[in-house]
Amino acid sequence: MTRRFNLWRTRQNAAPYLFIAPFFILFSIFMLYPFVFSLIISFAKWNGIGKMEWVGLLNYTRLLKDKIFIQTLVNGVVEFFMSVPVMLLLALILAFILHQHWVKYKGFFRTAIFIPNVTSVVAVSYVFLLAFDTQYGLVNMLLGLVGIPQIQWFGSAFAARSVVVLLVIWRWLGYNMILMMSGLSSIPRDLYEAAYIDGASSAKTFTRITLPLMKPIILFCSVMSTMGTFSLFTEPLVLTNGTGGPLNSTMSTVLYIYTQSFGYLKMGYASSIAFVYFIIMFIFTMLQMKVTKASDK
Amino acid sequence: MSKKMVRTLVLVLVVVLSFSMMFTGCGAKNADSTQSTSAAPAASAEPAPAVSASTAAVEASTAAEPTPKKIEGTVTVWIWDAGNKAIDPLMPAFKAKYPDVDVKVELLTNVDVYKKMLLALSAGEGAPDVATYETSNLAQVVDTGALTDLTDKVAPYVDKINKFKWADATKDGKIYAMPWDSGPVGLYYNRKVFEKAGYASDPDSVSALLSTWDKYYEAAKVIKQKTGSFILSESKEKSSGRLFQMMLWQQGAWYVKNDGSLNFTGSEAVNSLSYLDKMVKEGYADNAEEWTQAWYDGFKNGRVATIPAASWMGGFLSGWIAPDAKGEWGVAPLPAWTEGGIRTANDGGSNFVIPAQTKNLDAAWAFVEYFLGNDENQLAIYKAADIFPSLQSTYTTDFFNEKIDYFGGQPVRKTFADLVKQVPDIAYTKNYSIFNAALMTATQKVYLKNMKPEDALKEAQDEVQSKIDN
Repeated sequence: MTRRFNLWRTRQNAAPYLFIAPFFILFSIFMLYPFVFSLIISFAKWNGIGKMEWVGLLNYTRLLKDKIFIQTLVNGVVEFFMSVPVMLLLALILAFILHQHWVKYKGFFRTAIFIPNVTSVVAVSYVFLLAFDTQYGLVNMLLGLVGIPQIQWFGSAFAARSVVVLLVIWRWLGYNMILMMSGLSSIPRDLYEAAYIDGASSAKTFTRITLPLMKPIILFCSVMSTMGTFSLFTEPLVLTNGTGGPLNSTMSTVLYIYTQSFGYLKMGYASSIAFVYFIIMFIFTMLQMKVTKASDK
Repeated sequence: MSKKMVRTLVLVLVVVLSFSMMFTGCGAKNADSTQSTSAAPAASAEPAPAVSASTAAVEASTAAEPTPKKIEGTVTVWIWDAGNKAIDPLMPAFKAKYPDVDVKVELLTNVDVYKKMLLALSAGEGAPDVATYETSNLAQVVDTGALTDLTDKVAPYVDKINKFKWADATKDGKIYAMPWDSGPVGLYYNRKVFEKAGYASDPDSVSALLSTWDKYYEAAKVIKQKTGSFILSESKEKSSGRLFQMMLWQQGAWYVKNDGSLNFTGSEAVNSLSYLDKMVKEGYADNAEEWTQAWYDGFKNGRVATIPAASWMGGFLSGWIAPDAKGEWGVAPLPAWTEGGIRTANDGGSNFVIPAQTKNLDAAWAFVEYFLGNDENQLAIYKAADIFPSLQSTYTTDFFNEKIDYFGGQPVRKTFADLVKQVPDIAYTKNYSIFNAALMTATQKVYLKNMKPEDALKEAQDEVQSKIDN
């Protein structure tokens, strides 16, 4: 009797775990297992097909001396500073404007700004590639009309990164704007009403009510954008034909991992890059959260 | 309560782990099965006690039977569009010869073939029976050890096919691919531009005029001055390094020496990059990226006077780059580095491979041999898609002497057939994609940052050296 009762209790207690099991099963197969597997092969030399050869920490020691890998991190940082602050500020401003009650055709503007995000990256990257062609591109033609000489868009690191960053901003502005808008609409209206009654200016309302209450959303957007910038892949792949040129200035870490693994069949080395990259991203995100939390107090 | 929670958690974990075990188990099982198949022939050679006498007898009788095994089954082929266009017209004849073989063609781009193949070979299943591989990427897949050893099957062709085709197909003395086309390089030139510059435009005159790269440089000046055209195309920002590679190959050198040591800083490499740098800096090279509209336009409107390119370029020019320029183009041998030197190189070329996963080796080989192993079909393929045969016996046929309208009546097939005999015996080698990437960065350093070619090549060599070992 008691045993049966216990069994029933156990089953009852197990129920929630069984309900969430599908996620964990899928997670284990598609995330945890590859994660552990790639950790293992990061200590080996492996072409993906033949036998693995253990090399210990060799991949990691090589990695620290790999100039191109370090270059990819620098690229990430530079592209981050070129894109994320501008993009988030623009997104916040746009969201704030579109949130105002006097704006007409909100739906149209929202959709128009969001649409780049749902278009195919490959297609859009090709359009950019054509538009930024040195001799035949639309951009150089328009610049020529106002007297600016031909710019070699892939002839210098700065110009090439600018193209990538423009593409990123254009593509992700709408996404961040929508997130910010949802953040804005979650702020209770009565706070604004109270501020209005107290005679607060709209600038003050924005800095004292909107911004503090938007902090979690802004943090979320910045974390996502940071990871997004560092893991750019399709954009440099299409724009530079996979070379990350000129002089590796648009080579992103993820593109580098891809080149090492599927281009050169250096699965072990690619995995070690992936791990160092993971750790860096992890620390970066932690820092970001800490900074925002500290400024909260 | 908490104890129970722990227990249920453990339960969930066990479920989860057993799932992942299933996956790892899957991999292990696969390894086993490949082992057992490779062990199978050895087992059947010895009469095992477990096998009953009757089956042993049947096996013995089939083994002793002299009549060839019936070739049947399905052959899946991964091929790119241009290749398929070449073999497709021959399919009915193939079907007539092998009525029991069904060919399933899957169209993929060359890059997709390599990526998908890697996944299929790694997974242990999903590979086709036959796949097309460019020679530049061949050694890499041969090195994985996941292809069928074709040494015995290709043995009759070893002496009949261009020698330089075999090195990339070979590992440890065994051959893993059947060569399809070769890419002998010549110099395509725009007759109109040459005439405008005051030169005779027939192939022999142009060949004499441009007999060395130094003379080519002198002609570049005249052409630029008199016609405004560039003599060649080389992108400053996005060079693919192909031109550099042709020059290297032409000099019988490559990124690596025969002993495996790197050769980026050898005189051949430094000379080639210095030469290209001179052409770029002095304004004789059109700054257009290969395979873009700007590049095609250069050939269409006479902005670019010559193209050092392989035989397959002829088909592209007449087919879609400049189909209206009938009679405007001619082909001369490549300028040599020294008077009387080698006047060609190889660029590209492809092969058929048979992954070891195939369950139908006989039918797969029948397919490969049918298309690549006889003059008639190789010629039909050349005719259909300008895919230059590697099979030397084709070169003496009348087909090669035919006058080609597009090239102003010049028998360009003959030109290339003469050139292919001179191609130095060089292999791309398995690390080619690493070499090429490092070289592309080196060209950018030289063209854009004015770095000295020898310094840029030294840096490229150091970069490659740190990569190839692991």
